[in-house]
Amino acid sequence: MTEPLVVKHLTKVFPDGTTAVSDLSFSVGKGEFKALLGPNGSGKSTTLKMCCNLLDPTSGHVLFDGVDVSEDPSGALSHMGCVVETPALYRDRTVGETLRYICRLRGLGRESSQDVTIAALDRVGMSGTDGMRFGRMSKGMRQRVSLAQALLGNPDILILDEPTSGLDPVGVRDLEAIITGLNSEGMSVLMSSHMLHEVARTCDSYVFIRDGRLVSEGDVGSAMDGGGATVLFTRPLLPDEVGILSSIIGGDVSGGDSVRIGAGDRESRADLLRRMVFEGLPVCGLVADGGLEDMFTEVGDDDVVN
Amino acid sequence: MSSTDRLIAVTVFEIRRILIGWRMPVCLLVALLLFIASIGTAMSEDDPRRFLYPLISSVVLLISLYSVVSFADNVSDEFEKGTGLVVLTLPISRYTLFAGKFIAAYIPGTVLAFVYYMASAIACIICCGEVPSTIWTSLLLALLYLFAALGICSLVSCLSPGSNVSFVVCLLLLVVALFYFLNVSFDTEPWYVLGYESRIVSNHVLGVQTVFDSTMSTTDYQPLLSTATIMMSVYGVVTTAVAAVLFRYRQI
Repeated sequence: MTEPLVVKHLTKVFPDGTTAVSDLSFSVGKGEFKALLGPNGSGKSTTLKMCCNLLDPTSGHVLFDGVDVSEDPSGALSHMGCVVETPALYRDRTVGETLRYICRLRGLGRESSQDVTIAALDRVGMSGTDGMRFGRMSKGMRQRVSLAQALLGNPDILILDEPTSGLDPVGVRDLEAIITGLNSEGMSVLMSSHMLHEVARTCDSYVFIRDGRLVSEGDVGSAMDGGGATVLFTRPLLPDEVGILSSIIGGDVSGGDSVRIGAGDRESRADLLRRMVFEGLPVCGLVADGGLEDMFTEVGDDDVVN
Repeated sequence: MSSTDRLIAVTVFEIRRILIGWRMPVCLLVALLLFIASIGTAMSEDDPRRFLYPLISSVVLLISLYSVVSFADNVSDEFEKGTGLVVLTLPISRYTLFAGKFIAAYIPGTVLAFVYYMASAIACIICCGEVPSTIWTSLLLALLYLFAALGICSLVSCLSPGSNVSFVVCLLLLVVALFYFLNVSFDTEPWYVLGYESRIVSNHVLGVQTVFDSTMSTTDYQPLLSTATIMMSVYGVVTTAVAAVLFRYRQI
């Protein structure tokens, strides 16, 4: 089965010589909620713009359901909906008129456009606003309406560029609920963000880029747990306790008042701790490594995966 | 849904934007004012051609204003105000989108020019009892000028960073330049200037031609029908084609 989005060796060099994205490859599977992570200026928006046909890549390919955007833009873009940067609808037309127009450009018939528009607005909690003008809406309402336009035509994948940026906590929560709801219905999502708590709440997997290059990708849960943690003891372990600890974690232990444990999900860590306490080891706490948070500040060029 | 259906959808939507927004009412008001201002001069003439000349002279100014108002910011707005971030990600070719916008600007302009000519023709019948047939050829020339003017506006709009810049540049190129070329005399014929060639729209009604003195020289050049037709066509085709390519490759 073809993946909803495949990015292959994508590179973007701007006319001034700046390389915004370099040989970036990743994919988004059916029903997957993937985060595109990276610090400011890392190339997230440029990558998403190339995915949405707003920027032409210098080299590489973007495929939606196996259709290359550069070869068949109309065919490829019909599979996706996007909210990139700060999109706007025409201020001199009502929201309903503009959404029906977008439906028509997405290939829907005149009759079905009305129903699809109402359904999309309803889906984002904006029922009854089709007669309003976009220019008179609050930022939160605009974000929702922008999301509604991305849903027209029932795309296979949603591409979102920091969709909760600038919203208040209630707005963030509501929009997250809508997006995760769409994902739970089977829609794939690629969302750029630099807010890790948001990513931890919503995403299954991540791609981390820096200076336009792939640094790391994988499962969000494991990455948030940092791939490791340190168990603290109240005192240095006795020789027989070191033996017990070795048998619990399955490796050599040097002793001391702490021990580092490897990657694993939260449940397996909890299981390790329970066994240590059960065996009478003097456990007093656990400190998780920074994980993704550290990547934003610590990863250097030497760590780049090619 | 075919490209033709999408083209029609874009055209219909953009026509509604021009008609229902502030653009068309402004142009209708200008048309009314120009008509009233010109009819005063025309009323003093008995000859139908001389009666029509001041009325038709205003048409080029009206079309220039309409082109600037309806299209100068149409494309640049998409890039400046964020609507392009939606529209350009839709499954529609940018050429189709551009064509829809262009046709949408051309159709109301054609209707506006036709209504103005009809009003002029009716006034001519009432005052002079007849209408010279050259008025209809003049209407075709006016529509050709509309094509050229919209082409220039689309090109400027595709090149401009923002709608304000585009609006001002188009105003300078089409309206201010028109006033400049209205009364200035030339040592050599400026056949390559659109503002000069646009004089053919009104000259054709009156039958004005360049008059040479005994030494076969003149300071009062008037455009030839053939040259003006070719030049207006060239301006329209070249500027529109270049604008379409720029729109296709412009990045957000």
